[in-house]
Amino acid sequence: MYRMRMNLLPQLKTGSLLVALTNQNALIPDLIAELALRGPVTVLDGGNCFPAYRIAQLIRRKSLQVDSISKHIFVRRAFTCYQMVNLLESTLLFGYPQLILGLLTTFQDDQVKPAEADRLLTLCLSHIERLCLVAPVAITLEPAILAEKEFLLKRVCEQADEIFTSHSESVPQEKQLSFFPST
Amino acid sequence: MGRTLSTITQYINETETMLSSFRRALRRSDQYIFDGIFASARKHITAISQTDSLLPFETVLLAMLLEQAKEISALRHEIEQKRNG
Amino acid sequence: MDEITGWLFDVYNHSERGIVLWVIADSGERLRLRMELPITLYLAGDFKLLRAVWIFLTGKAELIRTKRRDLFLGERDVMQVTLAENNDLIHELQSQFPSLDYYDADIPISLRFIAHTGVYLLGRCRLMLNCERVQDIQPLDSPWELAPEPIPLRIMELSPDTDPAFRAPSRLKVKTERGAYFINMEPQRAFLISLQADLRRCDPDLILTNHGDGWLFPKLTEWCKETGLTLDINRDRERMIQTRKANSYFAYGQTIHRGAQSHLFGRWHIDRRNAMMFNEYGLEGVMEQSRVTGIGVQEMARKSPGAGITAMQMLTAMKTGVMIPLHKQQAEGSKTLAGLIRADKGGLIYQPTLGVHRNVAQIDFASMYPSIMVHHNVSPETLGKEDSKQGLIPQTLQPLLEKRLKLKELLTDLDERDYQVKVLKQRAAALKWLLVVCFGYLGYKNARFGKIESHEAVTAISRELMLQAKEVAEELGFEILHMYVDSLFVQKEGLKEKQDFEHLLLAITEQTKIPIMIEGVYRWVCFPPSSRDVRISVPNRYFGVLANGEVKYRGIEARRRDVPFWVKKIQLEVLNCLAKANSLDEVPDYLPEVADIVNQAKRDLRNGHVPLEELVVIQSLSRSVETYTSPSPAARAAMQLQATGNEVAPGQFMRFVFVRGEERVRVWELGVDARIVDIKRYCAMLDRAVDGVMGMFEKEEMGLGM
Repeated sequence: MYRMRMNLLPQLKTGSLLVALTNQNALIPDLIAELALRGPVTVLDGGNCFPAYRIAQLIRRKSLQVDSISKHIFVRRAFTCYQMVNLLESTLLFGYPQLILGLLTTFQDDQVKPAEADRLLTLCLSHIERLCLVAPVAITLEPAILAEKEFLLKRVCEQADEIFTSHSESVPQEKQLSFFPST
Repeated sequence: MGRTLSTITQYINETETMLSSFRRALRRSDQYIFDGIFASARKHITAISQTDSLLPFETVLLAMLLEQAKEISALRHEIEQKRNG
Repeated sequence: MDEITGWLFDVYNHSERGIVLWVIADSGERLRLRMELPITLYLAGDFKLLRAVWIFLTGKAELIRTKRRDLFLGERDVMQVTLAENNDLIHELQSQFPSLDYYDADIPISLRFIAHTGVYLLGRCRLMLNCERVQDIQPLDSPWELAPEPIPLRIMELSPDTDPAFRAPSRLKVKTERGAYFINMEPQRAFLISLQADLRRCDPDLILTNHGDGWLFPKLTEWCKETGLTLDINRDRERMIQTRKANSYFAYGQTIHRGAQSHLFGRWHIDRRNAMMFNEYGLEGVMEQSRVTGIGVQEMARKSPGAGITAMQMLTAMKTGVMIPLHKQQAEGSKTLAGLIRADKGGLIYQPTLGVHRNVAQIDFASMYPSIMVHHNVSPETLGKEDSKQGLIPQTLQPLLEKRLKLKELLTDLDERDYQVKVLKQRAAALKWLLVVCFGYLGYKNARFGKIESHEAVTAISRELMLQAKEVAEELGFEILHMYVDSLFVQKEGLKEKQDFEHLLLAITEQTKIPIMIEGVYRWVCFPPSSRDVRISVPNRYFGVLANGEVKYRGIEARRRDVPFWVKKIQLEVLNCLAKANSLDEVPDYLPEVADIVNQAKRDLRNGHVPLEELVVIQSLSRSVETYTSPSPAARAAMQLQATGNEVAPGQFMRFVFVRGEERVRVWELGVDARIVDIKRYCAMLDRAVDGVMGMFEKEEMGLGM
């Protein structure tokens, strides 16, 4: 299903993979803060975009226990696509929500050839499938991608159960249509 | 290199930007003082950073207070000197 | 069997089997030798796949099942594959079995050689030969020696008489130890025959050129093909000149352009115009880097020092039995929100105290980050472990640090005019550069063994040490004017000679265990305000005069690449004028002279007395020309170049002059009409640069006018 509003929270459930096409949308920090109120949450940051202060501010707006609630948030960063694979293969299977930010950002590196990127994405997706079995998983992706790596975007969207985007993203018409998984 | 978080410098800049509507509605002379308050906070960027606060603005305010206290102390000293001739 | 001694000049793959060595023998002969060098790599992973690999490789390579150490995973079951011939087997393997973990699969041949024999590049060695075959080779010295015996190199310099990008050259300048002379490039046959004679006669070890990479060697190759003549540019007749294409790539937040390259076999080729580091520390520096890193001279001259540090790390790994992963990398461990905020910081930076200050000492920690890595044993595999043995990174860096320190000590003892000084300075600078980049290249992105936690550990320790230094200084009654990562500006009433600060240096070194040294004492130093608000100072921006009259400056226009030479020149003249004052109190006496300098400069500009080259602005093209909606000055220059059929690539530096009218800029290569120079704009640039310097001093005294 292809949704136009970025309200992921109600859709997050174990067994369902959510994909959001966004450029650091303001709703992602809010999602993380909301999840932290409810319990532990893991963020795997592949886009070097983890908005720490923003999240802390949002927690403060929702609660006085900023310190203890912020302790629910676990973050790990990957700076290359090989680190991304390592990140996913070393993620333990706990039942709490897993957010993967900028899954494909590190794949944009022009030192990584498309064939290699494809192989690494296969590894990542198999680990993500494994995670979905025990926890709610959501992925964010930057909509703008180099032509030669666009197929990666398609592959991730094909695996998704729900795809979210927002009006404010300047995704060209042709691209929007190409994100429809063939259901 | 590898930096994910905004630096405190960037954080103060972003905070200032968020308050731009507030600043805009001030008189020109007040705007100058407003900028001065932020300039005084910038003098203590390292100390603010070292605090590792989840909500840095609280520490930014403390730095602003510190500079104000310094100014008051200096003024008091000046008055004392003038009084004693 | 013959025994010879000499210097190892170069090492590379033979096209079929083993390697080729070039040795400069003590007899003066340049020898081309061959040697067997088996290539070993390791594979690990899925058992079924390894079995398939076994079948695939049987008969093509030597296969052994064994255990070997992965730095993070410990001892691992691996398949050891040893190849005798130089073929594409490794690439074939990788394309057939991409999902296995490969180790030691892409080690440069020179490093394999060094690990195998213990002989270093440019090192002295003893060889036992059977004709051209090396039966045995032994090292006679170590790369860590302070004063290695100089190699008797034969150098030939080739430079065209004009810049080929500007105008086709008509003559080539040839310089050898016999002298310098020109040969006409036309007619081609005569030119090639003449050049061939020179090459034969001189038989150079090093060909130093201007524009050799991008123009001369491709041109010579082309002309040889056309005329059917041969040139012995390579000493190794079995090989062609190895050319590498130019390309642009994105790294560290910017687009970098790398020009084409021409590599030789049996000789070195260095193109002064395509070797930025070479211009920093000369041939001696490049040779020193080659010596300690194991990367050949031609490579080191063109690459950034980071490649050298990576090589050193590989060598240490090989020597200690640690496998070098091809791709596998460690991701970060888990951090809480608060943990990330705590860890994600850089070096300590203190806002400078605005204004002009007198008798200020600048003290710097020596090679701080590498020193911390060595002293605190910070290495990806030692994180969080107390009492572990020395890690891979500290093991790699320690000899480098020690040699640099020893060289510096040696230099302070020598008289400036000693003939050794220049060479030692170049070597010390080359080592310094290796140390400067090691923090980035041993980090978490480009590094084979990188973990961001080690990066964070180093900066955390550096911040702590800076705070300790501050506390020690304040205890001793000093005032801290500025701190920047590894450097402090301190001041104390009554202290103004270098030796007055000795006790502070000793106290800090004792507390932090990292040596700290005095850069100099400023008669006065100024921390100017930022352009956005005069109440705010800017870290790492200052200018001042040292006790010996030397002017030092950071962060002001005179340092910036995109500021025209003329502006930099005048700003420096102003600084040097202020430097004439013996003390801060006398500076106001020089303000009228400063006004004169500026006014004269503007008059010169208006009257056309300023050479056009001095008005050239250099800016790099940040992206492809088509992607600009409103073109930057660099983009405009690029478009002008494109219009004349020249290629432009992102990351390339554009040289242009600001002109009046719609064009706004005129690219330098196409010629600039002096009459349309945008005088107003250049005067405004000059005013900004001078104001930046003079702002803190009294402005009323200056009669600056248009």
